[in-house]
Amino acid sequence: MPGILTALVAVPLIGAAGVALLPAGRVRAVRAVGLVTTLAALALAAWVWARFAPGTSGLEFEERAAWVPAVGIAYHLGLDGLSVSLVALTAFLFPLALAAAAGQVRDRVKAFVVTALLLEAGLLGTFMAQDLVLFYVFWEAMLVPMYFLIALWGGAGRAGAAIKFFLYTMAGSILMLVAIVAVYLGSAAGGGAPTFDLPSLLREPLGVAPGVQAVLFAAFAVAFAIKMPVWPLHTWLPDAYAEAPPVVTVLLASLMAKAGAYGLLRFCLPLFPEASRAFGPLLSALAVVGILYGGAVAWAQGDMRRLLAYGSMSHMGFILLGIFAFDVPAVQGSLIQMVNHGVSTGALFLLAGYLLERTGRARTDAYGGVAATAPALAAAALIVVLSSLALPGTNGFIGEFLILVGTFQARPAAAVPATLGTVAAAAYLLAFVGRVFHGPLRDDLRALPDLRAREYAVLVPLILVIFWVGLYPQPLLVRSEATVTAVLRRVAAAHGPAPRAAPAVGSRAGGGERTP
Amino acid sequence: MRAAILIPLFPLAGWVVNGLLGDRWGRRAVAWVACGTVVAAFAVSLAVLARLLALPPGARSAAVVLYEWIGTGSVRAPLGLLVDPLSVALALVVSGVGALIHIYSVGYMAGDEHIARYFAYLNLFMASMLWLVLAGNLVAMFIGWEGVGLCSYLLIAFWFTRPPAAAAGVKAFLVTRLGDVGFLLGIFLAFAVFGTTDFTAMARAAGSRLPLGGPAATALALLLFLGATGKSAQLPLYVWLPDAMEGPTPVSALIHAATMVTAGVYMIVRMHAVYLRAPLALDVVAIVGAATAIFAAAAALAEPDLKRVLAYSTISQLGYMFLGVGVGAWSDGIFHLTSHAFFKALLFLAAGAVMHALGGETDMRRMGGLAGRLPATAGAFAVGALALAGIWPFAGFFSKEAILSDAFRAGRVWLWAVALAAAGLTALYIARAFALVFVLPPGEGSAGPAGCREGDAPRAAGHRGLAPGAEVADPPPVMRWPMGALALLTLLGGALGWSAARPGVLARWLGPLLAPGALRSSEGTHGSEAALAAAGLAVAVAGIVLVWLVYVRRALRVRSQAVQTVLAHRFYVEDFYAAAVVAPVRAVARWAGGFDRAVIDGAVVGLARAIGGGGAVLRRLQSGYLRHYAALALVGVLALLAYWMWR
Repeated sequence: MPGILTALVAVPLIGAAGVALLPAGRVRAVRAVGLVTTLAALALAAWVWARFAPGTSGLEFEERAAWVPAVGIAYHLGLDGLSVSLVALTAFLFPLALAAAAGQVRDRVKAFVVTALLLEAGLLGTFMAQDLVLFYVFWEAMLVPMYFLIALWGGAGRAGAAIKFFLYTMAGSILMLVAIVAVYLGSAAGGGAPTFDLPSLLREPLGVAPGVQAVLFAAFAVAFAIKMPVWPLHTWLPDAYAEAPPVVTVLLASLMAKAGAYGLLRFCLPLFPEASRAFGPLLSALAVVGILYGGAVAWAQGDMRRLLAYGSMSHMGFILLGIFAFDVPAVQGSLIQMVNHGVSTGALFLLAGYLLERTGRARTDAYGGVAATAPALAAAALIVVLSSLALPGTNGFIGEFLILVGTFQARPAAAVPATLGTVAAAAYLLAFVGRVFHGPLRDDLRALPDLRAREYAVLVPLILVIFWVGLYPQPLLVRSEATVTAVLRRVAAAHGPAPRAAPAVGSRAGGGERTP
Repeated sequence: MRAAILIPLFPLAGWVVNGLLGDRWGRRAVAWVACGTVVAAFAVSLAVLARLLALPPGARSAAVVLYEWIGTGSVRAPLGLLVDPLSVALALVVSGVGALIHIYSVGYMAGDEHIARYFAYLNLFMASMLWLVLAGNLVAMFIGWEGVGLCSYLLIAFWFTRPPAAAAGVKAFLVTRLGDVGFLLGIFLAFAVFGTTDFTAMARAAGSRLPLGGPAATALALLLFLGATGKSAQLPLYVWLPDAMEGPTPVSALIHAATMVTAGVYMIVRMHAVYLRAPLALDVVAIVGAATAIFAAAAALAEPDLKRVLAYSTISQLGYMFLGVGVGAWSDGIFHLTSHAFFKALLFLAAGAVMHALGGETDMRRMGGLAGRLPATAGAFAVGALALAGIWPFAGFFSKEAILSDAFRAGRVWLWAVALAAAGLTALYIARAFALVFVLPPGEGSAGPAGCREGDAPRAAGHRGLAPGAEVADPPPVMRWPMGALALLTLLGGALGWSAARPGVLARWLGPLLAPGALRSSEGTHGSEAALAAAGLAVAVAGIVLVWLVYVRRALRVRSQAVQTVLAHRFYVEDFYAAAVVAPVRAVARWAGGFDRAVIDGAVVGLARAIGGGGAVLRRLQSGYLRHYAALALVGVLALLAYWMWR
C-alpha cells in the first residue's frame, strides 16, 4: 500500500498534471494550483517531520515494492535522521519560491509551474530513495527540470550557463551511473543475489578490492561534489546562479546543493568507509580551500548574484568540512547547516531577486542608500546577512559552530584556517550591505518601493526559521543524532569486515548500523 | 535568582517593541519604552544585588539554566546565567550608566527622525551587553559578545547615508571579528580541554586540567585574549575605535567607552582561573596593556578632533585595565573599569553637549573659549578631565593609582614606569583638549581647511561652528541631569576601591570569587603606597602645568616637526595596515576572481571540450539542440536499465 512518502512524491506530480490540463492563458489559476500543490506537500512533510521519532538510526515511514525484481531493483522509500529535515526544508521552500516567482516569471508561466513541480518531486524523491537505481532516477529527474528552468527562463547569458550546467551534470551522472553498476556487481561477491537496495548493501561489506573501492568512492564523490559544488568543480555555479531566474537560483543554492552534500553522507560514507577515511584529509583540504577561495572571490565580485554565488560556495565548504571531520558534532553541524544554508542563502537570493525585480540592476555599485527608501527590505536583508555570517542567535551560528568545534577536535589544522572564513563571510556580506543599502541614496532610487505584502509573506517565515533554529536548534539536532552516530560508527569501525548482523524484520538499517 | 534573566530581557523587549512599532508611535512613547526598560533592568540588578547581599559571602553564586541550547555528541552548551558578585557588579555598572545615557539620548537625538531605530538598536545593545556579563558559559557569552559587536556596527553606521559612517561600521565589525576568530578557537580549545565551557566548572577544573605554564593553558589564555584585543581595542587591533566616533556621541559614551570595550577585561577576570595557569599569557596581557596605554596616549596628543581624542584616551585607559589584570589585580581591573565608565561617559556626554551647542562640530580648532558660554558643560568636562588625569579625589585617581601600585608591587617595575609615563601624557592630552575647547580664545588652534563634524545631524541648523553671535548654550535638563549624575559618581566613585584599609568595598565584594592566588604579592607598606601615589599625582600635575605653560601662558614652545608629523599620523600604524594587510588581501581577492574565470573554468571547459570531440558536439549543443539531449539523458538511463534487465 502506498504510504505517506509516496504521497509526498505524488502530490507535486499530480499538481503538475493538473496544471498541465489548465489553459495556458489562465495564469492566475496556474499559479494558484501550483501554490496549493506545494502547500499540500508542505503539510504532508510537516506531518512526517513532526511524527518522526528521534533516537533511532533506522528508516522510518519505510515503503517497499518490487519494481524490477529480476535485477533486484526495488521501489524503496524511507526517511532517517539524514533526510527527514531536508525533506521538510524542500517542502518548505517550494511554496515560498513559487510565491516569489509570481513577481519574476511572466513568460510561459504554465510551463514554469509544471517544471518546478517536477523538480520538487525529483528533489523529494532524491532525499527519500533507498535504492540506488531509484535514487539515480530521481537524481536525473531533478536535474532535467533544473536544466530547463535555467535554459528557458534565464537571463541574457542563459544558453552558455545552461550548457555548462548540463556538461558538468552529465559528467557527474555518468560517473555515478557506472559506479552504481559496479556496486551492484560487487554486492554479489558474498555469494548472495546482487542488489541495488541500500540497506541490503550495507548489511555486509562490499566485495571489492580497496583500490576499486577508492575509485567507486571517487566516482560518487565527484558527482556529489559537482552539485555542492566543491572547489575546483564549481565553475558552472557563478554562471548558473547569475543567469537563472532569481527564484530558480534559490532552488539551486538552497536545495540542489544540499542534494550533493546529502549524497556524500548517504552513499559515500556508509558504502565506502575505508575510502572515505583515506580521502578525508583531501576533502577537508578542498573544503578549506573552498571556504577561503569562495570568500575571497565573492569579496571581489561586482555582480550581486555572483557575489552571493561565491559566498554560497564558501558556505558549502563548511558543510563539506564537517562531513569529513567524522565527528558527531561536526556532522551534526553539517546537517543542520544544510537546512540553515537552504534558508539563509535562499533568502539572500530572494532578496537579490526583489532588488532585480525593482531596478533590473545586477551590479552592487548601481545601488546605494536603499535602506533610506526601503527600510523594511533593508532590515530583512540585514537579518538574513547576519544569519549567513553566523551571528550567534541566528541559525547560521549553530551550524558553523558545531562544524568548527567538531573539526577542531578531529582536524585542528583544517579548523583554524576555516575559522578565518567567518571573517571572510563578514567581509563580503557587509560589503554587499554597504554597497546596496548604505551610502548616499541615489536619486534614481528614490522611488524604490519597500516590501509589499506578498514579499513579507515570503520573508517572514524564513526569518522566523532563522531565529527559531538559532535559539532552539534541538528539534533538528535530536532528529539526526542517532543516524549520524551510526554512520560515523560505521566509518570508524571499518577496519576489518563489518560484523554480520542478522537482518531484523522490516529492515530498519538506514544509513548505517541499526541501534539496538 | 531566576529573576536575573529579566535584566537582559527588559531591554530585549524594548528592542522588539520599538523595532516593530516605534515608527508608528510618537517620539515620546519611543523614549519612554527605551529608557523605561533600561531603568527596569537597573532596578532588577539592584534587587538581585540585595538578594546576594543577604547570603553569606561564600554562597553568593547561582547558576540559572534556562534550557539546553546546543547539545549534540560531546558538545553541550546550555543557555544559562551565572549570577555572582562579579556579574552583578558589571550588570549594575552597565545598566546604571546605560540608563543615564539613554535619558541623555532623548535630548541629544531629539531632532533625528530615526529616533525609533536609534533606541531600538540601543536597547538591543543593552540586552546583548547585559547578557554578555551574566552568561554562564563561554558559548552563551559569545551571543552577547557578538551581539554588542553587531550593535556597535549598527550604531556607528547609524547615519548610514554618510560614507565615512558606513565604512567605519564595517571596519569595526571586521576588525573585532578578526579578534573573535581567536575567541572562537579559544572556545574550541576549552571544549577540548574541559569538555565544557561552563565558567564555574572550568574554574574548578583549571588546576587539574591545565598544567601550570603548559601549552594548553597558554594557548587558551592567548586565544581568548586575542578576542579581547579586538573587542577592547588593544594593540594591534585598536584601529577601529577612533573611526567608530562616526556614530552619535551617546553611542560613543555607552558602547565605545563605558561598556562594550571593557568586555575583554571582564572576560579575563571571568576566566582568571585559566589565566592563573598561564603566567606567560598574563605577562603578554600586561605588556600589551602597558604598551597600548602609552601608545594611545601619545596618539591622542596631536589629534584635532575632540571625539577622537576621547577615543584614543579610551584605548589608553583600557590598556591600564589590561595592565591591571595582567599582573593579577582582578578587582582593581574591575575598579578601573567602573570608574572609567563613570568619568569617560561623562567626558563623552560633555563633548556631546559641546557638539550639540555647535551644530555637530567636533574639530577643536574651531572651538575655544566656551567655558563662559557653556558653564555647566565646562564644569562637567572638567570633572571628567581631572578624573582621567588622575587628580585626587576623583575616582580616576584611586583606580589608576591602584593599578600602578599593583604593577609596581608585582615586580613589573618597567611596566609601572611605562604606565606612569602614560599617566603624564594622559594629563597632557586631556588638559590640552580642555584648553582648546573651553579656555583659549576661538581660532587659537589655527583651524585646518576641513573641519570634522558629526553626523548628518538634522537637528543642527547647518554647520555653524563658532560663528559669532550664534546661539550657544548649555544643553536642556534631560541632557544636563545625566551629566550631573555621572559627575557625582566620578566624584564619589573612588570610595568603591579605596578605603583606609585596603582592600576596598569592591575588592571585598568580589573577594570570595577572586581571592585564591589572585594578587601575586600583596605585600606593601602604607609608606610605599603613599610614595607611589605621590609619584602618580606629581606626573599628572606636571602634565597639566605643562599644558598651561605651553598653550595658555605660551611660556614654552615645544615644536619638533618630526615628532608632530609622527604623532599626526599616529605612528603610521594605520598606513602600515593599509599597505601591508588591506591592499594585499584586496589584490589576492581580485586576482582569485580572474584566476577563477581564466584558469579553473578554462581548464574544466577545455577538458570537456577535449572529451566531447574537438568541440563538434559543443557546437551542436549550442545551436539549440541541448534541450533534446537533456531529455534524452533520462531516456538513456532507462534504456541502459532495460539492457541490463534483458541481458
